[in-house]
Formats: sequence, C-alpha cells, structure tokens
Amino acid sequence: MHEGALNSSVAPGDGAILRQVLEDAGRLIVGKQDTLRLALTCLLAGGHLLIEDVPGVGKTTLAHLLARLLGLEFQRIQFTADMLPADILGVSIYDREEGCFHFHPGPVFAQLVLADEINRATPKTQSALLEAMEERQVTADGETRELPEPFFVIATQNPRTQIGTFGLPESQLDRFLMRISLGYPDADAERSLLAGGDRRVMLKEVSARIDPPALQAWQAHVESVYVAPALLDYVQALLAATRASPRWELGLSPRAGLALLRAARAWTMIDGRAQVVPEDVQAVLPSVAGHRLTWLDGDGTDPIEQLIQSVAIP
Amino acid sequence: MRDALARLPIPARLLTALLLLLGALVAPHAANLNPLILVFFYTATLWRLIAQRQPDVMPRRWLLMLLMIAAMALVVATTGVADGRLAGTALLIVMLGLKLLELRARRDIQVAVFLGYFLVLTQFLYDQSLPLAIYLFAGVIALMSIQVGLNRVNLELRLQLRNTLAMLAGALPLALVVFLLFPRLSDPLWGINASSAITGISDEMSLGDIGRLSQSNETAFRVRFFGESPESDERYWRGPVLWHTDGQRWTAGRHPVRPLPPGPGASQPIDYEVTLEPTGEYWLFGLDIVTDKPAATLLNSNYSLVATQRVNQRHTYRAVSDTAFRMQQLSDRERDMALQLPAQVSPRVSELVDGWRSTSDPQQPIQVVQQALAYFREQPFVYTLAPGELRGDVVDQFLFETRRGFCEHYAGSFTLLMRVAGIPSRVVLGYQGGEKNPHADHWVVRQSDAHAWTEVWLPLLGWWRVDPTAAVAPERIEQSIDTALSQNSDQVVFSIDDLGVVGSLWRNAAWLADAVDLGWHRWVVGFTADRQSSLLEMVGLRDVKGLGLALALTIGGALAITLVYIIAQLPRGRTQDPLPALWQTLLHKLQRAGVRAPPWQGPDTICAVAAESFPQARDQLLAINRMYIQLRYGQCGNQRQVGALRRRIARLRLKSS
Repeated sequence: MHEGALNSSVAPGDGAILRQVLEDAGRLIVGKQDTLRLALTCLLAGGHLLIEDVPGVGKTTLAHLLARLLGLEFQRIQFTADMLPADILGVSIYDREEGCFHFHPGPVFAQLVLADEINRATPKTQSALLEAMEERQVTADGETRELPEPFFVIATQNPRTQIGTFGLPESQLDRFLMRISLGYPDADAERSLLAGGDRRVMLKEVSARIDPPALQAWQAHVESVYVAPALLDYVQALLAATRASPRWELGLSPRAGLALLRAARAWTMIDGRAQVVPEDVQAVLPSVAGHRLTWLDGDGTDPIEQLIQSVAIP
Repeated sequence: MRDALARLPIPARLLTALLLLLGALVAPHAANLNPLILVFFYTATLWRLIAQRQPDVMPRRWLLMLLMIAAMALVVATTGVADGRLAGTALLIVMLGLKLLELRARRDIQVAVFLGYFLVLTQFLYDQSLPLAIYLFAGVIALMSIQVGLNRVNLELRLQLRNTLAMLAGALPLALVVFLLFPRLSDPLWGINASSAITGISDEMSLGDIGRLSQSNETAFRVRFFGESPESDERYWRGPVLWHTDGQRWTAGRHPVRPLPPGPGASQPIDYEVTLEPTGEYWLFGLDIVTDKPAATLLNSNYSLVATQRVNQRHTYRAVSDTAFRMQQLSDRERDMALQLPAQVSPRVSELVDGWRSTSDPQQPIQVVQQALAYFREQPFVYTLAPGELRGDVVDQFLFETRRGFCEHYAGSFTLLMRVAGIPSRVVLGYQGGEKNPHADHWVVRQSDAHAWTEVWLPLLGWWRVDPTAAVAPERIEQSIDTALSQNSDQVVFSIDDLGVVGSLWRNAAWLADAVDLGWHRWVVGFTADRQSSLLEMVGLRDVKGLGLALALTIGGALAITLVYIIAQLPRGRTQDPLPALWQTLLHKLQRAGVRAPPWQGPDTICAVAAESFPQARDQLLAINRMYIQLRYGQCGNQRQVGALRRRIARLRLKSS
C-alpha cells in the first residue's frame, strides 16, 4: 500500500478517486465497467449487493477486488445446507481456566462479507445473516455486539441449480439495495482475460485506493448530491407506473423509491456531478428495481427497459 | 447586519438607470420652474454620471456644503419664497441634485428613489392632465423596479419589471379603496394655480380691429345632456351680455347686475352637466336660458351664469335650462341702456332705418326687425373670418361698403340698427353649436364655436334672440366651422365629411382622446367631495361623514388586503416554470430535423444523439444540455440563465451535413 494512494478527505463534487477505483478494478474484471460501477455505487450508497450469476464469471473476484481497492477487511462465508446461524455469527465457548464464556466472533464480523451461494443455506441461517445486515449488529447469548463500520455484504446466488436450495423470498430480497449479474464477457474481453495472468496473483498486487474512513466520508457525501424537484417528479412517476401497470404483481414500495434515489445519487457522485439527472435514475433502475418486482408475463423484452420507456420525463 | 447591507456598493447598471430616470422625471417641470434650477439639477446629474466612470471627481464634503449654499441662494433668487409651491419644488429639485452628488451606497439610492416619488407628486401641483399622469405613472413603475433591482441580485430586467407590476397590482385594490373613500376636500389641494395665457371669450367686443380672426380648435367646454339634447339651432350657450357701445367697442357698461331671484322654473327643462376648461374669468356658460342655476354660482339679471371665483381650472357644474323661456323684465334704466347710441350715427344708417320705419306699423316693431334681417339676407353680405381691418365709422363701412364680416360684425351692427330704430337691444356673447363625440355621450364646444348674437326687446314677447349671422350664413348655425381648413383661406369652410381615410382616422382618434380626457377629469381629477357623496349614496351610504367614512375606509381597506392575500395564496399553475416549455421547443426543433427524441429520454441522451447527427452543432447542443441540466436539475440556477438558454435554443440551427 502506498501512502500517497490513500485519500481520507473528500473533495466534494469531484469523484476522481472513485473513477480511479473503477479503472483499477477494470484491469482485473475486463469489459464490465457498468457492472463494476453499479457495484461501487451500491457500496457508496451503503447498501448490500446481491450478485446472481452462474459460477465462474468472477463473482468472488469482484467482491475480493472491491475489498482490496477500498481497503476493507474481507471475510468469505461459503453457505451450505448444514450451516447453522452460529457458524456465521460466532459462538460463546466456555473457558475452563477462567471459568466463564468467551465469545468467538463469526465470519460476519468483517467490513466486507462475501456470502457465497446464500441460497444453499436453510432459511434459518439465511435469516441470521439478513438480520445482521439490516441491524448492523449481532445479538448472541443475550449480548449485542456491533458489527464493524463500514459493513457490506455481497451475497451471491446461482439461479441455475435450484435443487436443494432455498431461494430468498421477496421480503428478504428487499434487504439488498441492488441485484446485479456479471454475465459472460464478450469476445474481446474474454480473449484478454485468457491472455492475462492469474487473477489471484493479480489480486494480491492490487493496492487500496481509499481507506475505510474515506469511504465513510464518501458515503456521507452521497446525501449532498442535489435532487431537484423535477427529478423527484420523475422518480415518483416511475414508482406510480409500476403500481398502475397490470404487468407487475406488486408495485415498487416507498422504500424502494428511497433506495432508487440513494443509488442514483451515488451513481452521480462517481461522475463528480452535483445534481442527479434522469439518466442516472435510468442507469440504476434495473439493478435497484429488478429483484423487487415480479412481472406476470413478458413478450421477451426487458420489463425494466419497458418501464423506463413508458414513463415520460416531466 | 442590515446596516452592512445598506453600505454595500451600488450596481452600476442600477445607478445609471436611476440617474437617467430622475432626469426624465424632472423634465416636465421645465414648464413651471426657472430654467436655472433645471440647469443646476442636470449639471449635478451629469457630474454624477461622469463620476461613475471616474470616482475621483465626486465632490468632497466642503464642496458639497458650498454647492448647497449656492443652491439655496439660487432658489431664493429665482423663485423667491412668496409662492410656497414653486419654492418648495425648486428646493426639492436642487436638493435631489445634491443628493446625487453624495450618492455612494445603497442606502443613498433608497433616499434618492423616495425623493423621486416625491418629485412625481409635485408635478401634480401644476398639471393634472392624463398624458402627464401616464408619463409619471411609468416613472413610478421604473422607480419601483429600481427598488426591486436593489434588493434582488442579478435579476433579469423582464422579471424585475414583472415583480414590480405584480406588487403594483397587489397595491391596486387598497389604492382604489383609499381613493374612493378617503375624505375629500371640496376643492383639490392643488387648486391654487393662476393660469396664464388662456384663450376664450372676453367680456367685451370690438368691431373692425381684427383683420383676420384666428380661431382655435381647442375645447371650450364639454356638455353631457341628461335626456334629449336640443336641436342645433337651439344650442346657444349664453355668456356675458353687452349693453354699451361707442360705435366700435361693445362693453358690459355700468349696468348694475343683480342676482336674479328664483324664477318660475322651466316648462321644458333640459338637464345637463358642463365641464368648462379654465378661462381665468368668472363667466360660466349655460344653454340659453338657464332656469335652474348650479350650486355656488350666481344667475344675474342678464340671465348670465357667474362663478364665485375665477375659473382657473376645469370646472364641472350641472344646470337646467329651458329654450322656450322668455325674459320679460325691462326696467326703465335697462330701457335707457338698451337704447344707448354712440356719439355719432352716420346719415346713411339713419336713412336706412328711417326707410324701414316708414314702411312698417309703429305698433309692430317686429316688422322692423324682419326688414333688417331681410336686408342682411338680400344684400351681398359675406360671412368670412378675414374681413380685413376697418377704420373710422366701422358700422357704416361694414353695412354699405365691405359687407364682409363674422358674427361680431353682424351682431354689433344689427344691434346698433335696432337701437337707431328705437327698439331696445343688446349683444350677447357665448358659444353656438357644438359637436357630439361619436365615442361618448357628451358634446364638445370649441373656441371656434364662439359666437355673438343680438337680443331685442319686443312688447309682449320680452327679450327675443335674433341672430343676424344666421340670416347671412345659415350653415354657420347648423354646422361647425372646420377651422383647420378655413384657417389659411379666405373662404369659410364648414364641416366636411369626406376627409379621406387618414383624415377620418385622425378625427376618430381625436374624438377618442377627447372622450378619455373627459372621463379622466370626471372620475379622477374632478372626483370631489360632492361626487364622493353621490357615489356613496349610490351604494346606499347616505350622509356618511367623519367617523362613518373612517369606518368604511377601514373595512374597505381590510377587504382589499384580504382579497390580495387570497389571490396571492392561490396555487400557481406549473406553467410558471418556463423550462419544460423551453425544452419542448428544443425537442420540436430536433424532431423537425429528424432526430428521434422520445419523451422518456433524458436531456443527456437526446443531446448526445443529436450531436452525433449534427456534428457541426455539437458544441451548441452540449452547451444547451449543460445549461438546461444546471437550470432544471441543478441547485442554483438564476433567471438570467433562463434567458441565455432561451436565446441559445432560438439560435440553434440544425442543417444536415
């Protein structure tokens, strides 16, 4: 880690350092700039990220990479069917010599937790993690312990292998600010990926661009990105459209609206702009709204894209 | 904090505007004040304008003191202190000039603006005409918008004006209530000016020394009839009566004119209201013959209306007349006066009259009158406004040689002929005719309608009006003289209808202006205590005075303020924001140029797409996009930028490359 690379102070309105983070990340995960930016946006907005994808496209690498670039302490939990909540949260073990219980914190006590294949665990175990995500604290043996700050969870799930898995219900999905998928790289990107070196080695060479206090400062800065009344009108029109249309089982909740706005602000901040424009909302809308909406039937087109096209910008 | 604000420097644009505006507001005083006062003021203004470029020419304190002493001396020397109004105005103007010279901070501008309001007020002490009022009202709007500009940073001029007008509109209901209900003085506060150089009828007449009568088209008075208006040959407007002659001049004579006791009243009353232009005389004019005089006026034994003070400003009065009324009385003294003859009467005149008397019944003097009229009708008399000058025995020359003249010649010589014949007679001055304003319900009597006619006293009939001019030129009585056309020719031209398009347009405009002018006088300047009480009576408030009026004023004022408050609280339509409309303009422009711009696309996307299609307009499009986003989605956009964006969108040209 170079000292010069660290930047604890935030220059308002200038997201150069954030774009630097994205550039660094782009060297390892090739051809996925938008997805990377969405992931960073999610973290800057203080939200948890759900990555839904087939194995082997770089989910773990992405999580690891973000942890390294942002200087975060990293833990990985591989979820399995026989996992118990204590395996995540930690256990109290009796110390015979001292004659009392000692709490041994579980893997959730880290700044960035990768919950791999979260849908393999039982709902009970899932709930333990999701509660920790929401409350940002862990209660075990009647004692409440704060999770470290900042605290992010990047969960992955594999949509293909449904046998023996417990898919997250809608109410749980709502805990994630965004759901993204990486997908296969395109031909050029894949060729350079194949030509490139071992990602594990490369990861070790990545150095942090910012440190956790700086990240927290950026998170605080998100709130100061200006949202004009005209833009609020647009967001409201989008929410109303999901509720009015018969295509959707349920419309977006007000909480989803707040999440959308927050994500749009963070997205804008990376550009170093002072005000959110409709394009920012449109950029984050698929990943913020996609997992919160259930559409009844489709004619093959992307339903979120259709939503965007059905709402005129006021 | 407030003090610090007041000490802020003045924006240059505002200061220049204020200086020019004050200069324009002082200008009308050129008609009233000594030119030196104005020279002083404009020098100070110019000085301050120069100081704006070169601050070091601002006068120092000691110089200002000297200037002030000089200014005081100037005021005393040029206007004196006798006329408080003139001295006060002059003092205000020189002091305003001095204030400009020490204008350094915003606070000073406030002072100058308030002095400007005061300056506007002083103009009305001299002139209350509508054009000046409009001019000064525009000045008040400008003064207010300078105040608005002083308190708002970088406001677009259009919005500055809009704010001002909105504020004025908000003040309007209250102003109206105060105007209608505030206790009035019976005379206007400014009714102290002695007007000079007023044209009009004097109370004497002189034959022959006017070679050419220059008549003016100016309005003498306006009349509104409440009911039927009389026929043109009945529209004789009676003024002073002349009894005494020396052969050439006719004067009122030493006739003791007493107020007339109330008469029997009219059998066919004609009710009307006259608005008389200032004459500087006591005479008022009433339709021949007034039976019911207006309040605060006298009706003398000549049946002439007399005001109690000189008419130095527009005067409105209401009277009742009866055209069929006969004046019967003739005292012995009056008979003597009505038969008075000049020292010499030419033999030709006596001969002529003797001829008439010999062929008529002495018991029937009316036969002499008829023969005299026949003489005027049958001999080659010409009605002209340019009869040429007469010397010596004027009546003799006129009757037997030149035979050219206007009403005064005919009335004067006819009266003399009657007196020679032993018939009591006198000359009446006044106006005859009048024209109806086609755009309003009033008649206009002009100075060119001034007229003179004769009254003869016949047994049984009493005083009887005889108009010898009508015998010579009947059309004079039926139509008005078109002075504009007859001014420069020998020929008298009576009203002509075919004036062409421009002429009739001009005439129409003149009539409209006349209607507006009378309305202005009736409803604004001439809104006196009488009118106020009659207006209050109309809404059922009879005899409201003092406390009652104060109460009405308070309630009315409260209602007006409430009304404005409610209107101000009404939700504004979202169309107030000009940006969506501007954006639509741009979208239409792009769509006409073939760029697809669906409504769901944001400005960034649309401009990027358009810039790809029209690379040569790329910079413009990006600039428009930047400005629009800043204004619509940004935190601090000001109105000046909206104007800039509007201009940019208007200038955008999209040509396919």
